[in-house]
Amino acid sequence: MYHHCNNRHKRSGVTLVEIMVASAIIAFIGGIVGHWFFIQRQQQRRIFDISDAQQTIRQSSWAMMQELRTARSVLFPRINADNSIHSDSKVVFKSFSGDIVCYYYVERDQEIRRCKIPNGPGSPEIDPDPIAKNISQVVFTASDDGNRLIDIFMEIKGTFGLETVYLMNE
Amino acid sequence: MKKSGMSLLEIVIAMSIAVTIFIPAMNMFSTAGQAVYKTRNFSFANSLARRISQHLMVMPFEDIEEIPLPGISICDAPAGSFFGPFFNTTGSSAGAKRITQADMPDFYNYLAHYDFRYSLSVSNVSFGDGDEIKSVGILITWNENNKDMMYRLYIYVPSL
Repeated sequence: MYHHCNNRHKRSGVTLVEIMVASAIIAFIGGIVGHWFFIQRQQQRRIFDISDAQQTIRQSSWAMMQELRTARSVLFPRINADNSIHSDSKVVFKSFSGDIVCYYYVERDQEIRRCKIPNGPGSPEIDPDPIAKNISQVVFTASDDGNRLIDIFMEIKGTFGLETVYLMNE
Repeated sequence: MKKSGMSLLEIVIAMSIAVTIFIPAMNMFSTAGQAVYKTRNFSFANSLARRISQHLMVMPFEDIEEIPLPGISICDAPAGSFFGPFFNTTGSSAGAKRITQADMPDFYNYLAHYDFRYSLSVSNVSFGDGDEIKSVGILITWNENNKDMMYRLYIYVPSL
């Protein structure tokens, strides 16, 4: 009789308290891990943005520098009459082949575009594709009294690019 | 009284072990992120050095002088340095802007956060017949996660 009674009260499995405590622990750890994943996801997105911005800055700077370096002369911007530097969101120059070329920033579309006035007959042509997209700001600065140096400052969402072009033919 | 299944203590220990293994694995991802930031700063330091090198080419030869470490800070750079003034959209020197918190807050904060600086080491080489060249070492320094970082570029500037 005693044995029978004892067997009836012996239970297997877990109690409600154990389930609740285990659930709380799992929820706590899950919360930490989930939060970490969320932060990592944001961080990863930020890293991709930086990487893309760097690539865009490098590519667009290179394209503009290649043409500017061999330019015959810079028409705009040029240093001020009092020899102070002068900046603008566009640069106009006479290219090696005699064309008038302009790189200009379109703030509405956040793009840098290129326009060319051919040397000789022909009408101005705007390149169908922009030089760079998603640009926050661009500043071209003439900083040398001989107008041989053009500084290019670019920003893409907190990533910055600085370049300086020294005109070989000036 | 002997029970089957796992006790609460066992579950907690198992979780602790799992988390202990998981944390170093998580750090691997953040290390990859740090590498990207490091590359960005190196790339930026490289462009700073190139900018200085190009400006040295048009500077009066006599004005190229040694700038010892710790160098000149690029944000709030003094007038007459390579980065002051930085831009000017007006027609006179009165409108010239420098890299300051007021004029370029985002750029200023980036430079100030990493404390980007530049210094120059200059050596004169004379050829005896009046021709001279200067060997200029451009040193860009910055601080990243309490580590002193450095980028060095050497150029030669002729007196002609």
